[in-house]
Amino acid sequence: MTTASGRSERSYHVFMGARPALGVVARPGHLYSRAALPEGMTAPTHPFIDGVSHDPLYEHRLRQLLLASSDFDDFVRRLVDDGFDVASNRGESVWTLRQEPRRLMRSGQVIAAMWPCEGQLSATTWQPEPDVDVYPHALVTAYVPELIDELRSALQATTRFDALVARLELPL
Amino acid sequence: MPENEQQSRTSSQPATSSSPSGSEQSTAGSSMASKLRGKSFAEGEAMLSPVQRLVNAPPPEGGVAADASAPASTPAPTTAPGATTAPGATPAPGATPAPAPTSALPAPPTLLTVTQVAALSFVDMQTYLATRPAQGAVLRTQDAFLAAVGAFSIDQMATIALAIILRTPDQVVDKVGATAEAMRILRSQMANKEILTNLLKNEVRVVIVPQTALMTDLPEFAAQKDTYTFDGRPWDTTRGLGGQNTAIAEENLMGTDPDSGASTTRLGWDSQAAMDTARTTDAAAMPVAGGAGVATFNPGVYCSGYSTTNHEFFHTVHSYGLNATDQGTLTSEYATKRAKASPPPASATPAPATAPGTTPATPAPAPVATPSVYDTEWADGPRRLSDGSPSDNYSSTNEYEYFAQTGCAFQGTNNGTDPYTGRPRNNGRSWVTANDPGLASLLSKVCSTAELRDVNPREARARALATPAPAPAPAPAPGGATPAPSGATPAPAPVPTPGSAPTPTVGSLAPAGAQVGSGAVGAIVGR
Repeated sequence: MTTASGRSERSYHVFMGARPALGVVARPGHLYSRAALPEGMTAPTHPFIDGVSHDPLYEHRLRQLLLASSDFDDFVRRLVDDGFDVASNRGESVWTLRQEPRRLMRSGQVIAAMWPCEGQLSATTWQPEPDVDVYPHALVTAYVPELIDELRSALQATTRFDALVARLELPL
Repeated sequence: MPENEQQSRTSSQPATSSSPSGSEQSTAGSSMASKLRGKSFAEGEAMLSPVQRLVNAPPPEGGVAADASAPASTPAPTTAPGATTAPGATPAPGATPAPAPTSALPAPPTLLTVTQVAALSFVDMQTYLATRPAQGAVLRTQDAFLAAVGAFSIDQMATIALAIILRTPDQVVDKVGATAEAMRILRSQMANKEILTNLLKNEVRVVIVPQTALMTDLPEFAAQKDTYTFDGRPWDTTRGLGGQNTAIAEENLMGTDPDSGASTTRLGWDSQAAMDTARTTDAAAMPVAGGAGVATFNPGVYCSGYSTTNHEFFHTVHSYGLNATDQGTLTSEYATKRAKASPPPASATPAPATAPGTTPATPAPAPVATPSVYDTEWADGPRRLSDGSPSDNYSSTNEYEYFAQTGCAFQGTNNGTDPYTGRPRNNGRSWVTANDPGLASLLSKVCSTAELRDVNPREARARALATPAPAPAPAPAPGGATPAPSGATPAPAPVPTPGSAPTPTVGSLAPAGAQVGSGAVGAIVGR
């Protein structure tokens, strides 16, 4: 699996459907809400994520998931299990990515999410440098990291999103 | 292509049509639309049939839309075919339906179609929306309506947008004053038609939170009652929120205090650790009075001259008003600013050592200051604590606060002290232009040409209450003689109101020294 190098601090956009929900980086940081901070108050620190909420509707749920998580990977896994989708953050505005992702299912399990826009191939446990593994027709996140090579092959073999979907959704 | 034809086509697009018959209705209405365009209500009324005049009549209180095709004397509680349906006209499930009007009563009026509304003049559209506020929620997503509103002047378009976007609940203590002030501030951030169109299409709402109520008492935020923010605060006591549903606080508009009693105070965990500890034994544990790690949260207040309305609406504009290009520009401006290193200010550079009482023959060269990302000035100052150690400030924490705080500085509403560094905030359009030219360019697109004045006028209110007004001039005596001063106790000065709109005194008023808020949030500071 060609995932030897990767970012030291993974960074993801988190969506619920097409709605941006959270920006999260794998490093000790702060938790930022969309609610106004009272005068004199600062954002609390967190030991393993730096997170910025994008939508008040999901803050309580995201907090519950975070409180139940033991580390960053556990948090991301819980996000996906709870119906959120994660996409590699390459420094673009999350508000430019408001599209419903296509969830790739196999044997009843969600194994990847794909967006019909330029973006990066990454996994929930691994993320390349921002300018590596970028494809013009799809942004893809492998929720099962072992599938990263298969997803890369499919991305390299296609030039359109619908072709990528067709290739990956073929019965095995 | 004639304008009305264009409107007819856009309004018939399936994605935005309000009803299955909307396209037919829109097309049919286009000829009337062309006749009505540019006419006053009175002129238009004269051109209408009796039924159409009925349609134009103001609805009764809680009125129900009528069928425009029915005879005027026939009670018809259904909506006209193709007309947009006002959500407010639909009874809640389980509610007792209103009795059907009897034939002795005039038929309730119906709602105009999208095309008919789009054909109204500015004044008539303003009047129409004022009498049918619920229909704005439907019209705002219709292309024909947006095209018509977009053809108005920017001031007129902002007025129509505010009529649809802004809601003042009945519980607001000073409805007139708070609404006027909210409109003054929001209007200053509505200088671009594309942004206004996006705010309408994206179904943004701005709600004034009454100073006597919780944010979550309002239906727009009721789903968040008894839940927590991502950073662990009870949603109930938050007093501002920028998003698709934006909350702005009455007390910040009027420079007053929120009610500090039970209606706006809630218990919460004073830290995440406290919550974690409590939930090790009970995963659903909630804070109780006197419990370990439990603090009382109250809304607190913001210093005089700092507008949370301005701040929160910048968040709204960021997420739901800017186009993708501008959103990308904002993201890259933030990343560039984070990476920008600047030399420390001269006052922070140590002077060369000189023996006391001596003057060096040749001035020693000043030590070369090493540029640092922590010395770059943001809207909330440098990223250093007062002792020089690195920190963030509110405006540097993320791109939302970067845009909102720099926006407030651009508007002149960024008074006060940064909670992270304790340093004074920067303020004023000239500061932003000099220190953040890229963002100043974007903010010039968003904002009107002048800075805002007198927002959150807490100090002015307190001063006015403390300073007796001069005695009113006595009435001239008969014959023109001026009576001598009576020496009576002067009447209190009128309390100033934000902006220039005079409003009555409202709510509880704080002394001048009470507005700085670290004490207002008690144990939650710096956790």
